[in-house]
Amino acid sequence: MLDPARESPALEVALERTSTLPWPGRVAAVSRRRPAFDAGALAAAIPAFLVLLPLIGLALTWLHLDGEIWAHLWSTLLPEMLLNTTLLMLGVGATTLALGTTLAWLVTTYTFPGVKLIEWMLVLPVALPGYILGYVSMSLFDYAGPVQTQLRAWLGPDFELFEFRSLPGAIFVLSLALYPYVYLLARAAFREQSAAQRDAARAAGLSDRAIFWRVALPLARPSLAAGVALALMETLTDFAVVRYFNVVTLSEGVVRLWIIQMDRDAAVQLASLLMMMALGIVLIERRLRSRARYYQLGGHSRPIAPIRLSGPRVVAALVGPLALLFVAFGLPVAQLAQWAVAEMASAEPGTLDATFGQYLFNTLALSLGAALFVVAVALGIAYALRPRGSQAKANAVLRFLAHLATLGYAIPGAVVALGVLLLLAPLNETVLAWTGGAVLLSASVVGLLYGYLVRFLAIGFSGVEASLEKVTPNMEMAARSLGAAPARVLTRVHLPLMRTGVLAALLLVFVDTLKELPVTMFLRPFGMETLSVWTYMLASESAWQAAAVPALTIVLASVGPALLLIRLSRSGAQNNWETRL
Amino acid sequence: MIANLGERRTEQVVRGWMANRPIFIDSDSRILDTIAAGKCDVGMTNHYYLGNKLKADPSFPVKLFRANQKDRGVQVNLSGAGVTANAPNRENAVKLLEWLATRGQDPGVAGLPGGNSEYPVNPSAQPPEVLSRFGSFKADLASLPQYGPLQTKAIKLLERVGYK
Repeated sequence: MLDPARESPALEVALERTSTLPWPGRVAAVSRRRPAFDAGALAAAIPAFLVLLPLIGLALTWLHLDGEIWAHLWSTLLPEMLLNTTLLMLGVGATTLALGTTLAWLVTTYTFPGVKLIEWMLVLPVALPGYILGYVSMSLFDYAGPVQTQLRAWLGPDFELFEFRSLPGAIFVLSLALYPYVYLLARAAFREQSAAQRDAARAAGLSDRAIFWRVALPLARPSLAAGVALALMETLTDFAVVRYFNVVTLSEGVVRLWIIQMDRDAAVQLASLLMMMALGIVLIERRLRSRARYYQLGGHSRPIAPIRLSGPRVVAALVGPLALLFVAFGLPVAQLAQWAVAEMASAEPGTLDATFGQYLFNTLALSLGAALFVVAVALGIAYALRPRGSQAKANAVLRFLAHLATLGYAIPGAVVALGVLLLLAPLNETVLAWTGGAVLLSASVVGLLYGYLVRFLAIGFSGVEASLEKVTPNMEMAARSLGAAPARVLTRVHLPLMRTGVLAALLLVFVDTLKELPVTMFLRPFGMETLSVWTYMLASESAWQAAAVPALTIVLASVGPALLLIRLSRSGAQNNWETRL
Repeated sequence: MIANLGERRTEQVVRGWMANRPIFIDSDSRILDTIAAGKCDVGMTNHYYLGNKLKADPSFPVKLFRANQKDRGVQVNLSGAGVTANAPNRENAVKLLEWLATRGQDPGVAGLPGGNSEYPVNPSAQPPEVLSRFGSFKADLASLPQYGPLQTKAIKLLERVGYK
């Protein structure tokens, strides 16, 4: 989306800053022709290629398909996995689309008391990862849980809501955890639509309902597709919720084959199939978006004046979102808090402090390490690929490679982890020999950070790239012509202008790592537990009360960044989000 | 079961279970909760989950039944521990294991069999208090060495019949 208003004030800032630079009189250096071979581009290509390697490795396993493995998988669980995975994605896709779009429409088109509060509160469920919301919901809503027990007390002992431990149950939980992705993007899209369009539609005789279906919704289609695609990728990566709910899916199958049955070859083959499915979603999303290029005339369009609701409609507008938030956030967090308090009161004195402290430290250190590492690589790639005057189009291939490297975000965590393991395993012997048996590369922090890089480069890259776009080639040339050396241009022009974007990228990668489960579970060094792994292990053993302590910590740590998301999407950083894909 | 009955007969038995259209609950203690709430009549779990429930609530309304008491005895799980070849603290690790195998099995010791309502392997150690109401039982120790070699076969069998 073109936004001329965005460039000029930033340019002014840059000129202001560059004009204070000293004038050493070395202008000649700037006019020197660049060599044909571009070292900067190569610097971008290497990390981009490294990120793609594990995925390429997995794809190559298709060259030697093991017929026996596939025959066994096909005759046992594979048909069920494929069916469940498809139904789960359809269910979650449809539910998140309906929820996210409706809620976004509500908060952007209407105004009523409390709308501002509800607008940001609706993002909160994103702070509850599926593997936490899943087990808390299970404890609350299954047959033996308090909700159904109470209902039986009221309605007779034979009453049963529905079997919660089932595919619909899993769809319910995943949709509550993931609708914020659609909501955020839909909201930003509705916000960007102009009042003039709505007025024209109204003048053409369309009712409010028709405007929604025939104007607003089609215009928002690319954003909705992007939001649903994000939700589906998270669905495809999940193995914990589906395990609690007893739904055998592809991701669950990969984890089960690798960790429980230790059937390495079958796990790898299944993972490569899962990867193809994830790539399929990306392609479909791109297709949905590619033909949809909608333009809105004028850079300074009049924003839409929200319609004021009154009377019973206010109640209706409040009850819906609040009920949703109660089930998706309020109730689970209250339950977690109650458990956490009970656990702290009943645990052996000292034991909780010791384990909790250690796991918290591991988690924070890993998340911080991952954030710095991923954003540094992203900065390197984005900086090397930045448009530079006449060279703007020179590196189309590398640009493509860099964007391809951000595909890792679409690939389920278990698949990324297996890809990294496949890649590092052949090096294990060598590294063991070097280090005298001290470091097993495939189960070291190196492997783990590699996994995080593959998975989260997209998040770092989109944040960094969007903020780097604020630095136009003109600014850089101005600074260089004023005599600043490249390093000085970087520190005095680029970094100050990019500070907010880089900080946001750091925060997002930090919190995504903190919540991350599959990559951490597969690649963590032996004995190195994190809050997410600890939560999952305890929850899958039904030690719900004990799991509440790390779970609540994760939720609290994620609330702040969740609110940051809404600020980011408010400041028109929608492109930013879409390039995440 | 495969060690005792052979693969074919085992498959028949498990298919028999499946004919009852069981609900699969990925949590032993939730299976017990669901029985207590009245949804199921029977369930299969390890005994110590029931032990823990009874410890928390002595009137927990689920009874223990042990299979095969009239012939080969009930199947048992064993927990074990070892020291890895590269362990940096070999001496202390061995000491810990020795303690675990002897005095560490007394019911009063937190976190070990006593804390988790499991039976001690050390015959001279006392089982935890809560287990006294389960009485004595016959365990199928003869097939223990077959657990490892037959595991893959067992998992494939379960996958064939759709047991999750």
